[in-house]
Amino acid sequence: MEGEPLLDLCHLSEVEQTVILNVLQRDAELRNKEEGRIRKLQQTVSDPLHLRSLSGAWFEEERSKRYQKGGTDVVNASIRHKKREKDIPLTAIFDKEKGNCSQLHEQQEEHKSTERELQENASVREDDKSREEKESEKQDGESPIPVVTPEQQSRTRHITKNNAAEENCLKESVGESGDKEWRILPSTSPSLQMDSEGDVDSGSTELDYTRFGSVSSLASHHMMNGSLMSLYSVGDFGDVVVSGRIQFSLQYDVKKEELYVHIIRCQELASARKNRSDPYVKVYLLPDNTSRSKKKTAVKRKTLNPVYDETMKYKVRKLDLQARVLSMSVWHMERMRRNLFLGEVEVRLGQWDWSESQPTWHNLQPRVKLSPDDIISRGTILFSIKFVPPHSEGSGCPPTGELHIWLREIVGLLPTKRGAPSTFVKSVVLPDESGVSGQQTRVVRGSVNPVFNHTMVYDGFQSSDLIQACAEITVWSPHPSTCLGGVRLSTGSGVSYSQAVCWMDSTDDEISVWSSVIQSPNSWVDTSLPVRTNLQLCSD
Amino acid sequence: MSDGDYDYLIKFLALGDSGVGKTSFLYQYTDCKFNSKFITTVGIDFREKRVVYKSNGPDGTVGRGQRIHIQLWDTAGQERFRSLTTAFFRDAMGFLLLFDLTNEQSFLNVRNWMSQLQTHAYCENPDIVLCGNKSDLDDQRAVKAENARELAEKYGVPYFETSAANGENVSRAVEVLLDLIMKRMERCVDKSWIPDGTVRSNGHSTTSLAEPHDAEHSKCSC
Repeated sequence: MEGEPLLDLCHLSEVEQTVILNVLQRDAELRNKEEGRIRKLQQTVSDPLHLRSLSGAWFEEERSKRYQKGGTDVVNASIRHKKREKDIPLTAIFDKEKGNCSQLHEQQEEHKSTERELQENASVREDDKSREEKESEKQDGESPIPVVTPEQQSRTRHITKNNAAEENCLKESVGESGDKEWRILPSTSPSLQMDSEGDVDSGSTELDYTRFGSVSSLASHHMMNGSLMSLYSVGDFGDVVVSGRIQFSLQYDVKKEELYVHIIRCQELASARKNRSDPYVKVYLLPDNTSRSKKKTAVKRKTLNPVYDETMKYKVRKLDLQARVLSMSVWHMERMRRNLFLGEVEVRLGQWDWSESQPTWHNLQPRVKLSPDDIISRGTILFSIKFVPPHSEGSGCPPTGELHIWLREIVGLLPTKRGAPSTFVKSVVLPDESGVSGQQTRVVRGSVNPVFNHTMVYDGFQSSDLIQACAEITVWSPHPSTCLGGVRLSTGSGVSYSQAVCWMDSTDDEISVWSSVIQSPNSWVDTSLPVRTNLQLCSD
Repeated sequence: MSDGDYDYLIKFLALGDSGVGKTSFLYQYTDCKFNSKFITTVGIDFREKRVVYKSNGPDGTVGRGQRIHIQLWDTAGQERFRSLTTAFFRDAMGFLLLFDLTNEQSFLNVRNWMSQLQTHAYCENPDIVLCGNKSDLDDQRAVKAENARELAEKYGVPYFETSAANGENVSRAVEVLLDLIMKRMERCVDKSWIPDGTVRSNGHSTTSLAEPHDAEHSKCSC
């Protein structure tokens, strides 16, 4: 029973370790008092037997036959030792076999959002397995092997080549998930620099289902109208009447595919407590409401006109950008309780004037509570679509027109109770009388941003057919098969081959994509569309 | 509360599957409150309570009240905290092993928890009380009382059907565990200091002194 080895606790996040150390601290205080009590006893109690029972020596001697050190000492030493060894050798990061330790960074990011839940006393049901799956998913990325349906073998090469060229592009966007927080901090005024772990706020990162499912941490994504923040928030937001405005500027670097959010300052904020607020700004790039997307400014103490001058960087592809909503919310930092909401601003980046790089002022809005019925979107689907007219490739190829749907990925799926969802995508070109035109991808497990990279090809078209047809792409969850939503590309006329049909219920964006496809034969139309849940149900 | 103004510091630890109600059980015990929200424990936590213990002798003697300060360790049931929580087992003098009466798997896992205790506790046969929690959820019961009792008997531990929600048997379970510990303590203390005094037949006594070794229940491995 020599010096006992330390515990391997590297799978625990920073916050978890801090929480545990706090508990150990309380225990240490109790033990100190106990030691003081024992010292007094040693002076006052004469009977050694009595002393043995009063002091707990009976127990310690018994235990010492098995263990040299107490549990709290071992855990304390293990955590502190681990904290000292925070620099992980590079090889460990890339060594996937090493298990949890090598995924430390991703896990920490993941756990930060989970921590929020724990600290906020939100209900969390963490499914270890699904979180581990989610993490390994992020670590591995997706193997971008284009999958083409068997009937189209003769055209495989053409399609494969195209996909390979885009491979790198996709990999980079997937890399968004591992992005660290990055800030330009002001060199001027002193401020309470809040560690992201120190923040306790009501802006939950996962839907409250029961209460999630979470962390799960886990979670714990989309609505293109109204206030998205409220969907993910747990609990009340206090009674602070929102006032004031926020000044910020946005810039997008096309080459680097980075969005810069420069938060400058706020004015005339409401006072959360008696004549005072300690405000900070929290930013999300929705529909991603996970810790990856969450960024915060420093907390400024006792001011209703805080100056931040901080820039947050998000790695996001241009295509994806237009589907995103930037959410900036101002909060009052409470030491002991939930932070208080002071107002928010949401910017639909698809409607932002990017030529305007100067800072602009925006009035803060109160939180809007949405009912679950308002959830009509569950993520953004990114895909490319192309129509190849008959004989357009020379030598009579292709014999009939073809519709190519290159399904890339879905961004920002809503987490489920059990953590990140497993999904697959189906496509069909309507009308599909015979019911044979459906195709589907493989299932991607445990990811809110599944990458499919699957091309589906439909043939037998003439150009004139396009305005009668509808390309329907739907997202499904397996076991049992449940449709999560989808998109329908059509002219939206509601009529197909002189018949009224219910499946031409395309949104304006969907109609716009479809007309681009019709108007640009032989060229890919890249698009990202919200996965909507309000697809009209048809009896066929 | 922990001002050193007590006679004994006794440490207990609650263990069992995630979600069986360990935290709620302890909260009910210390604060007589119940919160139905599920907030998973981060690794480890503890609560404290001050009680008065009076031992009972079979010959009718009642010991004077001893002031006990109880530290109740609460462990996370989740797998990922396992290596952490088992490290704390050795710090506890007694254990409350909980399972959920509405969750059969949690009952099946009692066996595993027992084995964990044997391995990681301060000795091979620590004092344990088995609790089938959530007895208030009658219509969702998935474990038969007789099966649980049978298992408890097999391990030689007391069994209670408890409810952290309405408090049923919560105090009782803890009191029984406390009694077991206090009795073991007396035996342990004595065994290493065997006096050449008289030996009483049943071995129950007041907490203070020369306690004869209880031959019938030599669970203590001192």
